[in-house]
Amino acid sequence: MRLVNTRSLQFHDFYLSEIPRYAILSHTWGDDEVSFQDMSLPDRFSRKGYAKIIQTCQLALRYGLDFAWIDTCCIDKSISAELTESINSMFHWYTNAAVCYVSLEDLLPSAPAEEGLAKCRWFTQGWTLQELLAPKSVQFYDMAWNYRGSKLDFITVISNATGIPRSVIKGASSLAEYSVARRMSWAARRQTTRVEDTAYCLLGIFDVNMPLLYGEGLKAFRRLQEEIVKRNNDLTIFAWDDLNRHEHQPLGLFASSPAAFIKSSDVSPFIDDFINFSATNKGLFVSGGVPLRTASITTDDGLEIV
Amino acid sequence: MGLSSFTLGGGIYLRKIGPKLFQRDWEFALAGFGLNNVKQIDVFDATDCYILIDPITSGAVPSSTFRNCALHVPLDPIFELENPIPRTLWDITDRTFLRPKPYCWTRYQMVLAMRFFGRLEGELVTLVVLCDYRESVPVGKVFLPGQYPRQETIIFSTRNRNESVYWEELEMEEPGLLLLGNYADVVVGNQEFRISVLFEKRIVESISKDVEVFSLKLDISKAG
Repeated sequence: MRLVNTRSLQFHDFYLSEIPRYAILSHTWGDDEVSFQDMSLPDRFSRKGYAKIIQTCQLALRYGLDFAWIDTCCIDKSISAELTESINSMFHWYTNAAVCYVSLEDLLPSAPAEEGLAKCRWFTQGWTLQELLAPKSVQFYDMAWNYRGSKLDFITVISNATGIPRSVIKGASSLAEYSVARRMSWAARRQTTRVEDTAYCLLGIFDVNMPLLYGEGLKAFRRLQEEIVKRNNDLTIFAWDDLNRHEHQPLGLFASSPAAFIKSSDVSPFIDDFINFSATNKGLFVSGGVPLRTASITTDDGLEIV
Repeated sequence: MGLSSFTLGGGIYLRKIGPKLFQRDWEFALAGFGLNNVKQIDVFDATDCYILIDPITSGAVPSSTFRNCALHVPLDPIFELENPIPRTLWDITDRTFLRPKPYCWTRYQMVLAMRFFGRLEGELVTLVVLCDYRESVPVGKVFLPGQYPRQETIIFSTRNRNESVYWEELEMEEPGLLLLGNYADVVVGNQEFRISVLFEKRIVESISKDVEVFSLKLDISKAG
């Protein structure tokens, strides 16, 4: 893990067992961020993104932390192996951080946090879901870097805005206690710049790992669901609906994006369900005896369909 | 599939494409979770089945393949079908015994069994219909309950409900079944009726416009 020294602003690489206590930044990306390579350029001081790095380091120092992790500059994105390792580790990096500073770049200093917080872009982004849930301590700062409160201070506001139960935001319940469908629904309204990131940003939420293949497009989300099926005996992964679907239009068994789970926010698996299923090249193989119900449906036109 | 706070349970609707092969039915939203007017007809155990993940793939077998020359059992004005066996092949939507394999040269090595019941002259009549479809044209065999009690028990036992028994086994048990005709005579009050099973090769548009099926028909006439 590459951390930035909060005093010298120099990078240090650490193996897992040696990682010191560190602060971590959560923010929404802008146009003028400072990358790993940019950190050695003389013009970095004039970049908007550099201010975020400086502010994060200063806050960390005040908190007694000598190191910080900032996603813009602590990953060398030109090396795909490093990017893959970072994205697959990011949930744990946020979990293990001593504190997570959230920079709300669209929250005016004059805006009351209770009203302004939920409208911030930070709550609409894919990556920030894990950045909200993974760290134990999350501190919110407005656009002028004024401290506005912790995630516990705004827990009701956050829960209402995101649909995530308070116990999850608090860290009192683990993510695994919630169905796949529910967790997907938390990401249903969130956006990412790259389509692949709708899947990659959820690796930690579902505790799965997979290689990153930028360019694969929607297949990334398909691969994510296959990985989830490998690790979870939870049929609610199929409890989604395509709100734009057309009748008789054949669609797959896997959703094309988390948006399909928007109405699945309270779906939980049956307690007594224990069906073995796995994704094969013939389809979803459901082994053993599966109780299927035959049913008839009466449509709005009064037509009975079996 | 799961529970929500609004319903006791829910899931997705499936359509049967072939034996042990299903596809999600996109005509309807999530089952139970929405406000569909749903009536449960039956619950059965499907063993080791597949649900297509990607229906539109070059390798996917179209559902019509399993219905080509399959045995169709349409609704009858008098007799109601009960216990179509084997359940693995029975598609309740199309009321069809699907072909066991997609290959056109395959036949049904197992007994296709149906129990019908209905009222003739106000009296309840039950009928057992077996279909021998090991050759290119299905052959019906009809008997009344109690005529072959041991064989009837074997055929309709829970154990054989999903896969049925093979004709070879049944013939060894009771060679007399081979001699059965496609009709049975039923005495109701003072009247004697002959109920015959016929198969008509035709296109049933609700199943497929591309392939023909053998449609079963129960013909009732006064005997004698």
